[in-house]
Amino acid sequence: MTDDAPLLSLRDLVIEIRGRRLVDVAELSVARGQIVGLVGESGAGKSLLLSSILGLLPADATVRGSITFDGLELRGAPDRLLRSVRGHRIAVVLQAARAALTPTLRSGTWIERALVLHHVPAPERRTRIAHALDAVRLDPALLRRYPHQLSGGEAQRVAIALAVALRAQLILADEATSALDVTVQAEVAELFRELRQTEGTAVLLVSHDLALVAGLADRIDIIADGSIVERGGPGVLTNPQHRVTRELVTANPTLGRDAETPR
Amino acid sequence: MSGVRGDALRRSPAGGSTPSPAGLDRSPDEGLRLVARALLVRYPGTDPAAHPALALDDLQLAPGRSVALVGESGSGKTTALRALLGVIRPSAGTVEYGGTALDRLRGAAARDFRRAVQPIQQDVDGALDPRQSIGAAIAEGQRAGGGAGRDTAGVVERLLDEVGLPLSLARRHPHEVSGGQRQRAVIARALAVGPRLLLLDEPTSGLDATVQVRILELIERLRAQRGLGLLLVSHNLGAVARLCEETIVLYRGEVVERGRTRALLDAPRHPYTAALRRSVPEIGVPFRAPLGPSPGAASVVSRDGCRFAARCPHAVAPLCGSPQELVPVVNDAARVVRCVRAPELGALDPLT
Repeated sequence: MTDDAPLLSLRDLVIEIRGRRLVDVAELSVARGQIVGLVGESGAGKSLLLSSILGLLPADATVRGSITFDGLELRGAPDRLLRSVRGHRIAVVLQAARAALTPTLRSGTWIERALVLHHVPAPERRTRIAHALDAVRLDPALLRRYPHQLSGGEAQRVAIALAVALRAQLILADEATSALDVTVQAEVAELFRELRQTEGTAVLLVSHDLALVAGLADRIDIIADGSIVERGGPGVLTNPQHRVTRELVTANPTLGRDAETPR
Repeated sequence: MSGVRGDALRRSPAGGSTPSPAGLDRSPDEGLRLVARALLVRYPGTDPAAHPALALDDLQLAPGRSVALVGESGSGKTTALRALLGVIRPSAGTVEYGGTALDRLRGAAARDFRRAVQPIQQDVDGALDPRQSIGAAIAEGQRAGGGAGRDTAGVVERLLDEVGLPLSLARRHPHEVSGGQRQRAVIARALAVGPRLLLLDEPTSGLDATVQVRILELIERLRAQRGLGLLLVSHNLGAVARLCEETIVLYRGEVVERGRTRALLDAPRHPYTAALRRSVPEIGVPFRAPLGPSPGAASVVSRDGCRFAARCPHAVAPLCGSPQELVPVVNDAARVVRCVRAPELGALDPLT
């Protein structure tokens, strides 16, 4: 395994549910420390694709092709292997940040338990948590709070702090900033960029917000009807070729000085 | 603009009348005006020493006018909308429709208010009865608007067409249609009542980007064709820029800036408005990390001082620790800003 090989690589991935082909992706990869954006509308297959990486597809789904992570084949892998990867080396940050935490646990306890579950020894837990809080600029006092006492942005930072404490190599961010206020969304987006710098964390950023992804990602994949229809750097968006990309680009607000406002 | 009532004024936290933006006051339709004056909302059970959920000196809605309330969670924008609908009673100040306080509207006047002022809620999924077909929901709106007995099927058909839904959708139930179609159905039902003012609370949140644009286009078209007045509560500055001529920026319950939308977005005067503007990602504009607070920000924060100081890149002691008043902006009669440093900082660059 060389460092040049992609961290995550999907090849000829086909997901079918009850005979319907919902995902058909020839190739999608994320390199170490890379931020890749996966953009598409509802029903495009974004969430199924993420679920397949985590081995969490519905029972009636069939998967073909290969899903490799850091040299490990995840498709059809035994549960024990999946459990050691999922939520550990691959962290997940969801849209509903508060719902991802456990309502009856203080956020500090929630992080601590996840570290115990993944066999991090006690003395190391403390240093890892301290480092993670520092990395995501989270006030240690918030670890005493329960999820309902946290704002959406704070809960999202707690979830990301856990990813840092677990030394996740890859964060799967599924609409992780969609429910946040715009100023908080910008702060969380900045956090992903910082973590790439400081921790070398790769991010697969799944979103319907093309403009946000364009500002953050090294590469953008546009998904429609289960397939990647266009791919490229942020430049893709200045010269979109595919109809879906063009629609997504035009749908974005322009606040520039030439934008129209009612008079 | 009419004066603020004396008794309301004395209870106002600002302790004095603040200048209202001029030049945005041009609707002749006096009877259909929805006006909030010296509004103060404190929720029961909250600490009386804490800031109220909302303090809003002056807000005027009328057919043909469009006003946006923007700000983040906890800024008071939904509270303002509820007070304007009369579903919460302000702790001080008044909301009047056609010159009468909402809690004094009786009989025909009350019915007229409920017909003319229609809310479009944020939760599209919860806005329709899951057991009722979309056609039945629209027909119910028509009956509520006093149109019972008229050609209901014809009205439903016309409204579905007006909001861009196929006629076949009338027989469907909410769970059988897409989110965008559901929002169109909610709008059709509101139109069935015969409104003159629409109060929209985040009408496009949760919808796909391309669907959002089509809903905004619909609202824009309805506004023009029906001469509706709009109040848009949103954190989506793109929607605000598109639909509203005036914008009020709220931060933790108070107005920090208001003025014409275009001027306000192009050249924000309040650091919070600039931060909001900067946080909106735009294609072709490199990601701009939000500015952090100034090094001295923590020492500036005081209960009566600027509420944004803790996050403000321009906060300085002792200026920002003292009470902040809404003051007019030189050379822009429509603009007011609540920042003691505004004259010195000038127009803030929204992009850097």
